[in-house]
Amino acid sequence: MSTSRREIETLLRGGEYSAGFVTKLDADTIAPGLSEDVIRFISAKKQEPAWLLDGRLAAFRRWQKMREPRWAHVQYPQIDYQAISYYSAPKSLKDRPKSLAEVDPKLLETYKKLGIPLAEQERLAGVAMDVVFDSVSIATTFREKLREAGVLFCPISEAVREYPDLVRKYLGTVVPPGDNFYAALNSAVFTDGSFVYIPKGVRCPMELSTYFRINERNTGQFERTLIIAEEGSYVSYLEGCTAPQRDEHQLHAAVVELVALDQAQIKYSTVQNWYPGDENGKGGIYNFVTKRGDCRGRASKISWTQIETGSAITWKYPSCILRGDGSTGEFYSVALTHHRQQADTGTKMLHVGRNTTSTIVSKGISAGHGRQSYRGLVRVLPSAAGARNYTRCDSLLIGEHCAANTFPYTEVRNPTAQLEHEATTSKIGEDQLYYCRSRGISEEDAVSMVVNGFCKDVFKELPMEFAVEAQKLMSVSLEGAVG
Amino acid sequence: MSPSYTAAFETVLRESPAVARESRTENLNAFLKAGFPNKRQEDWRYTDLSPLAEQNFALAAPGEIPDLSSRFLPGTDRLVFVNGRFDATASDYPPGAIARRAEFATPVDVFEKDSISHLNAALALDGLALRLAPQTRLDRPLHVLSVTSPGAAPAMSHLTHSINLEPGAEATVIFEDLTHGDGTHLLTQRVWLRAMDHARLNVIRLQEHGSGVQALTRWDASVERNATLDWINLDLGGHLVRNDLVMTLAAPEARVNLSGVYAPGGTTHVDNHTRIEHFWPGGVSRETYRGIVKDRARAVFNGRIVVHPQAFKTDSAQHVANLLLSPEAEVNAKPELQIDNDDVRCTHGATCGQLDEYAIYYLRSRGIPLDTARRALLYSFAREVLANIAFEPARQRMEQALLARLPGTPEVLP
Repeated sequence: MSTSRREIETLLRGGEYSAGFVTKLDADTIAPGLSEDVIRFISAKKQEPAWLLDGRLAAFRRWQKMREPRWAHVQYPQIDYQAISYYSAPKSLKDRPKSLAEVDPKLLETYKKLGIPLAEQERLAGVAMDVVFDSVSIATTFREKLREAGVLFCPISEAVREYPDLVRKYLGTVVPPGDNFYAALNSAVFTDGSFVYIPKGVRCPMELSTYFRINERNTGQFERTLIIAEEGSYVSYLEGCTAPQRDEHQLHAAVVELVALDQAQIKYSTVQNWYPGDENGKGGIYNFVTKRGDCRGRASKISWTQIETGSAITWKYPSCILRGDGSTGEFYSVALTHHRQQADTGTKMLHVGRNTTSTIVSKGISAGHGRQSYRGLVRVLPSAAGARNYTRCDSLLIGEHCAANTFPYTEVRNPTAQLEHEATTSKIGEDQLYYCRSRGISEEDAVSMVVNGFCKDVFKELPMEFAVEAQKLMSVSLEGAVG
Repeated sequence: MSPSYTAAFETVLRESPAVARESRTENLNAFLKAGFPNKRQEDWRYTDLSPLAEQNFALAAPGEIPDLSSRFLPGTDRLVFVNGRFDATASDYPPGAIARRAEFATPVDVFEKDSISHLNAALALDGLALRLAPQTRLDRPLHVLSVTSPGAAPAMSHLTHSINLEPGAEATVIFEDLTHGDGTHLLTQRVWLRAMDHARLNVIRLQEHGSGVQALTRWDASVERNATLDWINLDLGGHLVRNDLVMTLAAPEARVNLSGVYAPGGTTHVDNHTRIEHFWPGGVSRETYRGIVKDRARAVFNGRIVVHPQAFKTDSAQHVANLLLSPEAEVNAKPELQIDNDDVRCTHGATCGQLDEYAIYYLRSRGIPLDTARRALLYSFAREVLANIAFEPARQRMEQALLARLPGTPEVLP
């Protein structure tokens, strides 16, 4: 489908959620409920070794003693964890496909609808992809080519079987099972996700990408991603997500762990477009995610870029632990809340090593009844001599019922550290809109232009294909915000 | 909870008039129920008061204090409180608008209270009660000196002050807190400020407590149509200092200017929590804080600006800058914006760092010794706030007090 056609169709749909279809597939879903038996079932389904099952059970027992956190600036009804099904796999995939050709054509159609270049990947080149559908990983492309470079890129359930030593060495070391309520839940019931290992000195030859989709009703998605970059390596990883349009809320509680050793670089980009619910706040995904990167090595670097336009509630803080001397953490974020969406998002930068630097650029756009909060923490420990942080967070308000909050925490325990924090909150510029209108640009296009300009600092951090997608996503998400 | 709080309450109850007993009892019960705040409460994340619950503080007896005349500010009227009680000999003010709380049987209490405020309302016996009639002006600034003189045993005292400016009234009030002695003392103060339409209120506060004093002060202000509140604070001493400010812009076109300097040394813990609430359209608020933290001191700044749905055209700016002078010093700063409508202009900024090396280099290249150069830069850093004090004697007093606390050898600065 040509771009302009797609745009026209989007417009015809009146800016509604374009990824909101359901794919009718026979699925293998266990009954809702959470118990040790369910965890044993998941573990058995995935043919996991005993140590992993023990870890899951330990996390579950811990989780049972934990209380749901309530400190975020978001409101939602109590979640019934027993009403969620913790495992769902498309049935036809019981015997895993050996190649793309064996994948259920209906699934491929789904991805085509979403505009994901899966089969045509070979031609487009450049992006190797892992697709996670409900609870299992469907297909991973370009594996052979990656293996030549020594890069391991596969579903984590497979990595557990094939590279148990690597997984065991790193899994849960960045986000320990008891880290927080949702991380504990994830550690107990995680189903699939991506595993990436970049060996020493290797620059990953292409962008790696994972695409997540929740399809079944009443299921939750608990994926787990682990990326390890050995000394001097580089990887750029992208993730995208969608879910069908449903009336009830669905829970997504993922955990992402990144480990960067000496001079390694990890660039992690997210375009999050889970179903946000309708304009009255009915339905939508609760996106409660723990993402953390550990700069373990000297002069290592972890960079988070996120475009958050979906989800009824987004609650996540991609963080960096800057342990290695001279390591760098970056966080670039655009969060858009429209209708009844709520977002409480930001980052944590923990400066441990000497001469560590961190940069935070956060852009929030609130429209309609959207509510959003930037919550960030910059902590400089006594050991972090010469630490440097720059934080900039801006909020743009569109419509009189929206809300924007900023809660930046700074904790400094070293006198040689330098921190700067700046924040502004203001209405979308009427003079700018007027100028565009006077040049014959429609109000909606004008808003979209102003918003895209506002987000430029973040968009430029995204890989090319994603930057284009992100801009389109913004315009679609903002439709109906003015006039 | 230590029984000393209830014991102190019994003493207070005997001294207070019958009409006030009921409200005091309610407040004590509310305090006992809530207890002292602890680190699990977000607003008390960095300042834990729970150890206070186990300490035994007796209600302080009227203390002996030396001659205070060196502290008197020229050109002011004066109220002196020692250990939470009025000191008639040191005070000097014309009767009329200026009065004491103890002269009124029933306190009017309109502001919401946290547990410390309940404790204060249960136990405070005295304080300033200033009320200005419409279109009147306080001829001379009013100097309110609060002296604590800790004895051998831990003691506590409490004061409640109120300032009420009716439409068009104007006043300048200088609060000065100091200590004679090194013992342990708990001082709670509550200050209510109200500036009605077109009133102008100027509040200046200098806090130079001794190293054994835990000073908890809660300020509540209501600023109304076209009224202006200027509030400047300098925190220098104390063992644990907490200032809670809730400034409400309670009518359209109100204006609040808040500023402060904290320069703790030793093991002082100083915590400034400010909240500015914009309820009506057209409000303007400005907030500037400067922190100089040395030795093993710990500073906390939390500045929250809340813009409610009706407060269109709000204009708000907040800035906090910190200098960390020693490896064991610590700063926790959190400027917050909470905005519920779209027609606003709000900014905030926070920095933490050291003195500019180039500035020091420049001064040294002009023949100024390192020590002097550093002091001059620290002084000018804080002066950005202190220079806004219009009443000259108060400004000089505060600048001298700050200079005496800066690291290095004191010398005369131009």
